[in-house]
Amino acid sequence: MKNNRFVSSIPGDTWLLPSALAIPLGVVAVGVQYFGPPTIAVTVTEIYIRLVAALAIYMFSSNTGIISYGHVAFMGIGAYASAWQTCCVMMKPITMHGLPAFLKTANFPVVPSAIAAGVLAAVVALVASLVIMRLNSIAAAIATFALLFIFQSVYGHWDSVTMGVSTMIGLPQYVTPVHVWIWVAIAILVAFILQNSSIGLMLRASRDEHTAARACGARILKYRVIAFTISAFFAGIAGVMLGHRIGTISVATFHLDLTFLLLAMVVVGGLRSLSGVVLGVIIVSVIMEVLRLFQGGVSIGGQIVSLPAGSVQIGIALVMILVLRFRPDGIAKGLEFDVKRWLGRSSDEVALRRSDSGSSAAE
Amino acid sequence: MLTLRNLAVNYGAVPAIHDVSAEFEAGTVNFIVGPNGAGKSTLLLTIAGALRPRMGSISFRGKTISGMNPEDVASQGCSLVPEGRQVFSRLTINENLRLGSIAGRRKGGSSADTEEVLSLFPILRERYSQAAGTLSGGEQQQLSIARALLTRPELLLIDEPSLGLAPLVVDGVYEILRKLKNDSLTMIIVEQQATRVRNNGDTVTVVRDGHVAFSSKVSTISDYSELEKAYFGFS
Repeated sequence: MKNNRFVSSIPGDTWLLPSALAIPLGVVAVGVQYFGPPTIAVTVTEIYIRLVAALAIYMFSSNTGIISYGHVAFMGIGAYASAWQTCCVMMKPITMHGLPAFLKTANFPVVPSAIAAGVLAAVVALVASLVIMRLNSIAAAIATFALLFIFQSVYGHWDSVTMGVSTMIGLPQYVTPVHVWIWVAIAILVAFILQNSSIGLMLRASRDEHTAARACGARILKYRVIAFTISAFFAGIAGVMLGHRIGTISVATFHLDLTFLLLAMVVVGGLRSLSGVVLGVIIVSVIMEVLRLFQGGVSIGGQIVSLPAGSVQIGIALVMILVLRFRPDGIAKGLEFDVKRWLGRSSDEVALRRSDSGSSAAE
Repeated sequence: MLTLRNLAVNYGAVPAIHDVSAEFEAGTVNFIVGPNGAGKSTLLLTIAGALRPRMGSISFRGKTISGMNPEDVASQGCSLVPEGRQVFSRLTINENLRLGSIAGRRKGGSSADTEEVLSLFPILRERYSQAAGTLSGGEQQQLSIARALLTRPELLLIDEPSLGLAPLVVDGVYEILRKLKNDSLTMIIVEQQATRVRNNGDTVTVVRDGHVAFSSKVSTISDYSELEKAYFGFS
């Protein structure tokens, strides 16, 4: 098997990376769920839901180099699909009378419903991507943006099925930190396998040199469609988690605010590495939570200190500007955590696997 | 092996090539030379499927490949080494080579191919987990050729292998191309200068202003002044 050293890109050791990312998050999830105060558990749950969504964007955008503004639409599609299957048996025949008969009275188990919802998001992505993925760079990104508005328009006006712009209430609130963490771990693993698979490799090659990649036999359209479809599944799952965390959904949730928040996280961490995305979500979320706390007013030494409304948004914008100015490739600079070094072993391959060699002008 | 018939290619409304016909035999090394802007690279990119001909046809081993996508042309066994050493600079050398071998495996290649190719390019083995962008120009050219070889081509299209390289480095590149010729790989090499033709080529075609100005077997050329005239456009 000596020969394989040169062709296989997943030698046993590199599995360290997804484990190193997922396991500490799992420890935190178990800790806050069973031993932490409920408010912290809620915060961690929300961070992990964003992490699933950000990983979904990462699966597509890091490999193809196309920023997706449309993934929040898939979150919405997932959230509504899960609600149709699990929510409010009494109300559905009245408020959502346009639903097909098998859903109108349905009360399916939550986990299979979540998966089915993810699959619906993936199917929509598959159909849309057959058109969108023929475009390149900016044009493709704008087309994904259009997808978000199509979703808004359809779900916002389809009163008999989505209740239009009204809020749907009464979704079972089953989402706990550990539950979301399982999806986080699966998403990390899938993202890792995808970027190291031949599909990911060919997509990353096409990102830098389109013609050369095709001359190597890369069927870019097909691979982009596959990556978009897989990533939409996870966006759908993130949407399901979000809906069942709060217990209510409305189309307004799945619009520009969430889109830009997720993209800010991805940009801050760095779109070129898995470690970057995980870092970005956690860092931006923590800053957000701290600012939100101060926005509500904090008592320090008997004095109530409170920041004006809107401080959270301004804070995120500032962080983004600082990162773009001083670390344009994101906090992780496109590198992965050097897990081997932490474990005291020699570090050669893991850390700099996808190192940027100062040639980011090729973008 | 490869036949071009009355090929015409436009860049938008501007004609880059008009009425080029040529025939390339299996197992030969064929040079296409000509001054800057003559249409040499255009010709190569058209064969590789990256550009569509306006008129005419290209047939490869009896099969028409004009109008095919680059990936389909590649799967037919016609592999392009693009101009300017287009390696995937952000990917590692290992990943660059994997890209070639993925395509090669579809044609029955194996990991032994990678070993064989690496034995031609020992420097790549030493650095295989390094980003390709960190290689020197000559090394990138080697990587670019190695990647193309891993697709198991029957015809290798090489666009200006000497571009921007020091003469000694170019010697090294041609050393490798000679080894490939000994393995009877068919090659079409585009060069701006005709200096390497005499020692390396079987045929030479001079392209000037988008058409064939001169074409001959290298062995039958006794006087290179005719080639020079065609090259510089004296008549």
